[in-house]
This record gives sequence, C-alpha cells and structure tokens, in this order.
Amino acid sequence: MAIRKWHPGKLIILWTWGGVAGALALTDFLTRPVSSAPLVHLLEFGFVLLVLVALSTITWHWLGGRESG
Amino acid sequence: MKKMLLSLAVVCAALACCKAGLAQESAEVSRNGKVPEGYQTYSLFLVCNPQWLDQDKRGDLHNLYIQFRNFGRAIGDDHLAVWFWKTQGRTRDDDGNLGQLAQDVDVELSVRFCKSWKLKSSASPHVVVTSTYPSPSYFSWGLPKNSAVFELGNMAPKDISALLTKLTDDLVQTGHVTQPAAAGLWVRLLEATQKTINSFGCAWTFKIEAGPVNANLKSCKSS
Repeated sequence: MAIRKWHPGKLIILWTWGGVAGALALTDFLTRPVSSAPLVHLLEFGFVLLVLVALSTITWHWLGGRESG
Repeated sequence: MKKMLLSLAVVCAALACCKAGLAQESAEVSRNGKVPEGYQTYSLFLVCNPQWLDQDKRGDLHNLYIQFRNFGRAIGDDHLAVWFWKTQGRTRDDDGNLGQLAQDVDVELSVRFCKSWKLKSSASPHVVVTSTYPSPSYFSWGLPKNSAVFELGNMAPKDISALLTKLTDDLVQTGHVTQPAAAGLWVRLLEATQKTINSFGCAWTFKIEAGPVNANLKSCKSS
C-alpha cells in the first residue's frame, strides 16, 4: 500500500503498533534465560532493534526538512 | 501346565523382589560407604566450592540438597542420584540444621572428584551424570567419556530446578544425558545484554502525587 501523504496520525499509529510488538518481544526476551532458546532470543532482540530502527527511519524521513509553524 | 505356570509365577516374583531391592533412586553415601552398583547412570552432586559452606550460602546448599532428593525420586529405578556425607547414616530433614548440614557435606571427597575430573571449584556445585560406576579407585582415569557435567555455582535456585527437571526428562525418556555445547560468543553477548537491560529496568522509581491520588512504582528486586 503506497502512502500518498504523510500525516502525524499515521506516525502515531505506526509507533503504537511497533511499540506493542516490540514490547512483547522485549518482554519475552527479558523474562526467560537465554540458554533455554538462544536462537529465539536472538530473533526477538533483532526484531526489537529492527522495529526501532525502521520506525526511526520512517519518522526521520517524514520529518526531514520540515519546520514547525 | 499348572506346574509350569506356578514356576513362572515364582520366577517373576523373584525377579520383582530383586528389582525392588535395587530400586533406590538416590543414595546418600558416607565417606567410608560405597556407591550402590548396577544402575544405568549415576548423577553425582559434588560440592567443591568452599563458598557454598559459608553462612550466607547455607540456604542455597540446603535448597540444593532438597532438590537432590526430589531429583533422586523422580529419575526412576534405573538411575541413581548420589550425595556424599562425611559421616555414616546421615540424612537431613527438610527443616534440618543448616550449619550442621554444611559441616557434614563431604567436601573433601567432592574435591577429589573435582580434581580428578578437572572441574573448576569456583563453578561448583556440579552435577556429573555418568554411566560409568563412580569409584574413587578410578580417579586416575579422569572423567569418563560418557559423562555430562553441569555447573550450578552461578545459577539461581529456580534455574537449578529447571536444569534438574530437564535432566529428569532426559534420563526418564532416553536413559542418558548429553553434554551441552559450550555457549558461543553470541550467546554470552545476548546474556550480557539481557542482564544489562534487566538491571537498568530495576534502577528506577516512579512517583505520582496528585492530590488524593498517590502512586509509587518502585524498582523490581533482582534475583
């Protein structure tokens, strides 16, 4: 789905869903010992980082060059 | 025909008696005693770390002893869990004297095992699961090939419990335990990351005072 026009509301929706998914992955990563399933832990931590980087990049792009007011 | 059936019944009863005599899932062996023979595997609980005899670790030692007894009961008749005492006929109740328990653990014999099998005392207590009969006369042979060593020294009680549960599963289902592969660098990095984030998450306090409503979120307790 192509986004025709960015709006702050869209960013809020993206950050909300990304935050929920990232928080769930991070919770699972933190609450079980790594040795029980190292690969799963690696994927969970990678996912959290990916979500953070992806949302930061989108936000950075959209806000790039814009000035408030 | 009747005689044959009767003979068969007698033989079966005799076999059952022998098996019942062997059915001893855990052994608490004194220094002059002997580990019972005839089991598929022997799970030795070795306490080689003097820190575990200190005042502040006595609770953990007692907890380990309780877990040893539970483990011994759960692994079935073909496997034996072994705990070494200094003196004969010693068994401890769940609410036993912790200081006496620490004194009576045969650390010296455990250290001989640790030295012979090249186990680090700092990582002790160890659980060594082996299918070779653990006789002190075999010390010069080193750690038998068909053995798995688990270091409990830096583990929390709940992690020890989880490990023993896994060992119980392996012993009951497959009859043997495989040595886990050493943790790679990336696993250690992940563990360090997890530890850092957990400790960071426990280092805050959040307080709200809004008239009649007061909320105070304190940092979590690290285990």
